[in-house]
Amino acid sequence: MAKKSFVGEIIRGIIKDNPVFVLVLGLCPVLAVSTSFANALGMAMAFTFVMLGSNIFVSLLRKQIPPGVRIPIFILIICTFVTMIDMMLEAFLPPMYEALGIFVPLIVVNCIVIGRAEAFANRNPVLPSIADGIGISIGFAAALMLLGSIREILGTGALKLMMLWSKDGELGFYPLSDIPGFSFVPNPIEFSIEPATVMVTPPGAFLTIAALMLLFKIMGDRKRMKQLKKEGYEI
Amino acid sequence: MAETKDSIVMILFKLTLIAVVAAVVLTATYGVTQEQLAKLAEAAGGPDKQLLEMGVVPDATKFKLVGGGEICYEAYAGSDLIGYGAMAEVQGMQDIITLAVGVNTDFVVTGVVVVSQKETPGIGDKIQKDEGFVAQFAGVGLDGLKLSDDGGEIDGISGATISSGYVTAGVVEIIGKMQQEVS
Repeated sequence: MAKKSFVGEIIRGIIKDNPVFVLVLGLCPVLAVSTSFANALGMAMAFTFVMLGSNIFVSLLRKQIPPGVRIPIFILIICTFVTMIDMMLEAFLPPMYEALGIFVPLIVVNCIVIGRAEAFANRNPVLPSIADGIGISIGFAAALMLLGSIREILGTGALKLMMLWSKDGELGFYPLSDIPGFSFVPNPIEFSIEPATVMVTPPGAFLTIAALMLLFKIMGDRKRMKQLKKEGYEI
Repeated sequence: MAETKDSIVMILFKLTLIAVVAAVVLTATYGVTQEQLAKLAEAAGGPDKQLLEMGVVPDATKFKLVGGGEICYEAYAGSDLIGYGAMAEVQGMQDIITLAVGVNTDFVVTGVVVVSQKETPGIGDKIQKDEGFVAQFAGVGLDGLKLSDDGGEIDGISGATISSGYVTAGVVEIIGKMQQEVS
């Protein structure tokens, strides 16, 4: 693998190795919790915590991990972080804990996390692993929130932009308009379309993912064509 | 990857070591979160306080657990017994629905609140978001507690009749339990 800068690794995780649209990994939680923007945001944050923790520790221990038992060790490390975030969500963000339900514990078997441990963190030093974790997490979060927003708009006819914020000493998800400096954002943002309930059900997630993948593929191909033409190929 | 040829003893030792570290970290997290959970539970109060706050028996000023009961609370206005309230989990379409139900002394419904539910977002979750739906329950006796399609007095939410049916059946179930505990 060619040497890459820290930022380069992050960008690779977001675009070239986007876990949802390019690697097509971890679709189970993606289908389940991308019903609304707020759920997607909560899941993305829980995922980021686990992804970073796992990548850092797998990378730190990579020379100590006996190859024969590496998968059990990865799972053990991932489990520890998942259990931590699960307990913390229950205690500090009960509404989010209720909304995400079983999908937080299921991050343990999320193939993105274990995939990055095996394919990247186990073979690279700590810094690139952190960059990889950040990139993959942003890529996952962006995909999840994009899906969540599209499904919420098409499925319910409105979009509620939520943000993690502390108000009156209580940590929680509040509408963006409640946060100082963002009061100009309408809440919720209404769209004059007829809500299509199918969009908030799992088939809606498949339709949205397919449409977005197609879009990104076309965009990627266009870019490649241009580059090939520039290099003097006849197409 | 650095090829380390470990003996079986070394492998076991490393696995155990990682497991021990994980256990220590989790124990610490557990301690912190349990404290917070205890605080939350204290803030929410027992079922009697929650029933009072939700106002399922509108005129009640105090709820007291029925002698020997598990879920049923007597509702008092001052010192007069004016009804009963209960909070319980019933089956929903997707998962458990928690309902709070208040009745007067003749077991006619005075109020229903959907405390928590995990029905399909955008469809079944209207049982909680559509306030008009639960408002219909007030003033209805046991024999009217059916969806209007089945000859009852409750209009199901259009598009969410299945979840509406589960709530209605749940209210009947809870009232049944309350009657058992009171008698």
